[in-house]
Amino acid sequence: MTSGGLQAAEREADGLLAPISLNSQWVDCTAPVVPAACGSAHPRSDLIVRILPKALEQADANALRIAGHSGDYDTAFIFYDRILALRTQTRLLHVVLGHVLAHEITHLLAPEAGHSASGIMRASWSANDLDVGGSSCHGLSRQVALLMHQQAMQRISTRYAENE
Amino acid sequence: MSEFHSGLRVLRSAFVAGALSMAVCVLSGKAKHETSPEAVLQVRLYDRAQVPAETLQLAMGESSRIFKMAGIKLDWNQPSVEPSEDRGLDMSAADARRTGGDREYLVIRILRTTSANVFPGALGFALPFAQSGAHVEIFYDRVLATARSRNAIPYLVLGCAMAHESGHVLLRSSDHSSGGLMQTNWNELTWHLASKGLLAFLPGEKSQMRQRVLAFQGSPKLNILVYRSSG
Repeated sequence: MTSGGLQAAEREADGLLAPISLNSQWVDCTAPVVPAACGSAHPRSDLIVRILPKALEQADANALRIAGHSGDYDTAFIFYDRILALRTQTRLLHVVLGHVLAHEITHLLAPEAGHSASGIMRASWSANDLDVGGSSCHGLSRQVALLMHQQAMQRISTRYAENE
Repeated sequence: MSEFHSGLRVLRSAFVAGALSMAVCVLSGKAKHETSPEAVLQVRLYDRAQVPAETLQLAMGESSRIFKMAGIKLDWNQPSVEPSEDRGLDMSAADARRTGGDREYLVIRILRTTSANVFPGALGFALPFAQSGAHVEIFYDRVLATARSRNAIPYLVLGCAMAHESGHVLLRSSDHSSGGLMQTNWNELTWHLASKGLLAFLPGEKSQMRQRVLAFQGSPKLNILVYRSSG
């Protein structure tokens, strides 16, 4: 996937997560010039997203992603082949990927919240959620949103404590 | 010999001969700013001079050491492909004290040879306000010549030259100080102190540069690092 496509998806995810004010930034660690934040000793408070070309064997047949841990880091694995398979003329790639990113960031920041009956935390989305002009919204409860915000702030504090 | 220059505007005025009132920063203990938040400056280095690998690594280490004493960690990148925004020189910005739009990283280019009439005697130059292309260019032929004439190790000369010119960029100034690393004219004693690791930025310069790097970083954020695996 191109960096432009990734940025469009990140903007989509930012839009979905905007009400939560995470104060986060996306860092493309596979850009031609690797940003400093991607160094080997980056803080454990950082979140990691790995976009894999093919789904992992242990993933459910229809899963688009898995959230978990990789080493000391909270990591989301996203299966690009399955994201691509969902793309249609009205269901744009960056919209689908943006939803998946927002969904996984939510899992990483509020793992105990699980899935919900509506919004981006539904276990599976309908076509209407992902089509252009579809009805999706973040749909997170106030409690989950607060939890995510608190988690993000805590990680930012930890990040700077680790540097001391 | 005048060895350091910054920006086109000061090409003439920088050639000030005479004795130096040198203020040397003697290092003792941990630098004041080595605590949180960490100020990290990304440096993109393009080696057009094909500097021997060991010399280049040691020179980068020397620059890093100098900046570390200012509370700034240099994060070196040597991209194999030069992005369009790093190519060429933006000389139009040499005089313009522009605000905003500054790049949050430093671009250093090392050239193998330089015509004698380009910044005569200088080891390099800086364009603190360049909005594209290199911020710093270093003339490696003159680095080697200085190393020979001053009986200095090439990596030390290269490391000091990169640190000095990068200092101009972070200080947003083509001015020189009366002592320390940002002085214009380096004589035998200066190089001797440099070889002992006793030459550094002045306290005011350190603070100003560190604030600038921290301003690049903006308010603390939660990083979401994205890795794209290829097929």
